[in-house]
Amino acid sequence: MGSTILVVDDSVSIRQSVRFILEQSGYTVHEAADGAEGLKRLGEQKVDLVISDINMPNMDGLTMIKQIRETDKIKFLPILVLTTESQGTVIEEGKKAGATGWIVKPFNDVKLIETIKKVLP
Amino acid sequence: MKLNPQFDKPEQYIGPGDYCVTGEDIVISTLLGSCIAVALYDLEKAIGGLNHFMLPFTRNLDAHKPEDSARYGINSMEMLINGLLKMGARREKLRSKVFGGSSVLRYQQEATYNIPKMNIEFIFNFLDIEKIPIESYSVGGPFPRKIYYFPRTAKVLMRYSKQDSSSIFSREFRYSNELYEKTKNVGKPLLFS
Repeated sequence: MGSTILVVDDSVSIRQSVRFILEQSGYTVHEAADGAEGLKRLGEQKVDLVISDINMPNMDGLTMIKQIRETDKIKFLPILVLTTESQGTVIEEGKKAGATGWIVKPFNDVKLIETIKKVLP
Repeated sequence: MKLNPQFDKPEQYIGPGDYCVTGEDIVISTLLGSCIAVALYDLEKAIGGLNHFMLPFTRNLDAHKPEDSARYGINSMEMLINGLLKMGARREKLRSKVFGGSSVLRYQQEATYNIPKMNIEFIFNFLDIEKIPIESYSVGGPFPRKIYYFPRTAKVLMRYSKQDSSSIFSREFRYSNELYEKTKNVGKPLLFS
């Protein structure tokens, strides 16, 4: 364990809920409220995995993912999208933007942790 | 949408698990027992929405994790919030009105859980954490509520329902059980590589 995960979501409730589950499994958690803050955190801290929402004010999740994929230092970072969006077209956009995986809310905590273990380097 | 002759506007009815977000001059209606409905709006943009949800609770205490249930309430609220933001509402301008959570006899007889109370506590806690001000509310008590919500003006008309409350409760009880079954099978992750 010991990996660090950045949770990007504009909802405080979701961040709290995800943090609770991740910390119970031994991960260190950082939080950001939108894509722009997420990029800022990634510039400041070493992160092993990003879990991000799509619909957020200021900078949405897809824009953030594209920018991560264009930034040399973090371009290979695994990114899981955690969103209420379940439409095929939006999921396809996420795949094109460079997301590693897609989880539709409301999520199941056991499956979330299993997925994290699969994608962590 | 059928026309509501009383208000001379199209009426969109929403049931448990549904939500409706619009900038149109319509009336959104729902009928609540122990469920909660939140009217959420950005008044300056004349956009509003209403949802209708409850938290799924199993009658089996050992199998129940409150955070799993809360996730369903959070999800319902997030769908509503995202629907509004996509239409141009601003998060910091969102205001809310909260209704529902009445106690129907059969729930009161259950010693294990007080479902209406859990629903009410959840929504007040959620709106507090998300810093969305509550402009008015009517929760609790023994009677079902009929809600008419006008999304462009955020006006809500509420009356206690004369409909037989046992039928409303039966519908909500079925919905709660369906939701609980769903909680066991949600969130199959999709990996792209």
